[in-house]
Amino acid sequence: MSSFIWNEDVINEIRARGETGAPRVRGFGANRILPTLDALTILPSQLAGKMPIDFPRENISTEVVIGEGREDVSKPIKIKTPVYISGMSFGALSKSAKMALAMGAGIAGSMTNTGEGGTFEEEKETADKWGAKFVVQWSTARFGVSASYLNSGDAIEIRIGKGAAPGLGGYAPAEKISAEIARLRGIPYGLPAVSPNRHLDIEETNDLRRHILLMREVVDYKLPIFVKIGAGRVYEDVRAAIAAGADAIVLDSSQGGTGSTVEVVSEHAGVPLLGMFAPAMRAFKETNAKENGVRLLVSGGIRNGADVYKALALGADAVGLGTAVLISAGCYVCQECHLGKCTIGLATQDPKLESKLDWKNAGERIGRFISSITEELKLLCALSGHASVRELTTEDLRALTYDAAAITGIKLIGYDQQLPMWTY
Amino acid sequence: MPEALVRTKDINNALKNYIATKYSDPSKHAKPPKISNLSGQDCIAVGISKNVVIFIEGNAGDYFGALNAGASIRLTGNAGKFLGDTMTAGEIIVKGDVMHGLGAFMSGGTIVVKGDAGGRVGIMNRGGSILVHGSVKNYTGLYMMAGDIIITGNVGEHTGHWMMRGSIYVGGDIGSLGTNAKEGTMTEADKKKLSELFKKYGIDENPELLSTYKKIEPEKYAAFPEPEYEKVLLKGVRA
Repeated sequence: MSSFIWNEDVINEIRARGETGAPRVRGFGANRILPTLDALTILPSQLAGKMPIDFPRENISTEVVIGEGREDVSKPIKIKTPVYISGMSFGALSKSAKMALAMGAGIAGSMTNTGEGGTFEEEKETADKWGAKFVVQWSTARFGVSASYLNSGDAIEIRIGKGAAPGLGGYAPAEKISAEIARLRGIPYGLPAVSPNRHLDIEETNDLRRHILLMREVVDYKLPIFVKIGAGRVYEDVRAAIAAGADAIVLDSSQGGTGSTVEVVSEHAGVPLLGMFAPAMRAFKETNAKENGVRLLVSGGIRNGADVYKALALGADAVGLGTAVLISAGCYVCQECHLGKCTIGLATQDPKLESKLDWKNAGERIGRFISSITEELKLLCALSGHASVRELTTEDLRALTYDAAAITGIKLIGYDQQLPMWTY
Repeated sequence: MPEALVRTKDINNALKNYIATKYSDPSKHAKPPKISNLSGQDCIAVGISKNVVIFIEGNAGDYFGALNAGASIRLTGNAGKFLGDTMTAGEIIVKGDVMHGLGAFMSGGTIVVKGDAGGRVGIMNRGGSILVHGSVKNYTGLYMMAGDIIITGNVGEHTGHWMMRGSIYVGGDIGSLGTNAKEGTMTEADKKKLSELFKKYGIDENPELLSTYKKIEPEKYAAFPEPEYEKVLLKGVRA
């Protein structure tokens, strides 16, 4: 007789620990069941409220501008879809994979992100060629970071943490750091790449404010500055990032993926997507941040147009995808990115394995995938009577479960009201 | 300093305008702006990629000269935290004391401080040279991966903590060494390197004293933190 608690996976894991004496490390993010946006439903327009839009004969606007209305940003970033590609590094991914992401983002009229570790010429060239906006990341180790790197971007993302490994640093053993990656990261060849778990030069919120000032001075007050946070104390962290002067706050849920992390962290630390919105929006409302042009970007577990719609209705302005775009490029979720032996050629530095990835084909797939999500989003906007993604509100949603209503403050189906705890 | 140059933005704009004119129209013989009486403004003279010489007087705030990518910046006065942060090229010369985090994350160029510095000098250094003609506090060279840190005076506790490569030279006393740091042997090449640097930057150090300098280097090259990570994490890597 099998046990629910002591199932085969648990038994195997315990036995493996008996051999290794170490916590498990693997790629991707949380596998266990966590609350998701599936616990919400979208309300179609019928007689009450707005009439549905006759899409595609009537247009739905999906353009998003980040940095607009911000005093210290002269070049806001405009994307044609609220769906963008999250930060993933050259190092965790192959060069070909990074170029595919840049191409795919361009096809979809969106933006890609260097991730930690700097960039390489072909990535930027590909982004420019296909018209993708280019976000350069400033992370804890400053690998590959310089004044010219910051100026090569359309936006800068200061990464405080990520959802799959909040509070943890990064580690890539020396054998995974090729001579080219070492050069790009500005580290001696033959050494592992170790990222501190925090910015050693950000000791308090005022230092983050000074960091943002530093960025603004270096890019001459042109680019929007994002601050990326792994979801934890969401309300307090968002308040701090707003106070520091961020133009956009990127909240990465505990359902986000990564190339390599400790399983116990990705499974058991952080707040899942569904739980991020209420505290984040409370922080936004209390500070009038939206009115002041600050944007909320969310990522970590977004899979389709319905997820995007729900995230926007809950308060996000744009939504980042990582795992889903890799799957669209051919990833089959073996969750062994950390081994560097990706047979698809995505998460590897092995030239033979990388050669298996036709990056242009992968780029086209990524582009089509993001475009298809955007079309789904338009359909859902149309049926709920919205001609623009910017019109979506929590009134367009209902919670399917008591838990989801309690977590989000969304009205519960049937009861058709907010739960009493939200109305005090 | 002119009345208008009070905000960081205005001070840096004066520098940017000077550099832009100097490079766009050399015939104008642009003169560098006179920046004096600096009073704690943060992020001054940051991210300059051109080979220009800039003189600044007064007390700088935090992140002075950060992301310097080619300029020679001379500060007469004290400075706050993280001077020269993430610098990639050029030089910064300070006649005064600086707070902690001097040269954090730098990957190239030279910083010279003729005065004392706080703790965590040269953390994550990946190839820059830092010379402090004075004493510093704890955690000098934390996580450093390359480059040189030279302290003519005393250093505090945990010096070289988890350093992977690079060298720390100390003329005075060492409070304690950090994990993976050990005292090595000063070679003739080391003495020559230091002697040339002292001469270049006008540090009046008796050449005979160089024999008394201590050199701190990693216990195990390319080690940190592989053994620890192997113990804690890499064993957990499995298909």
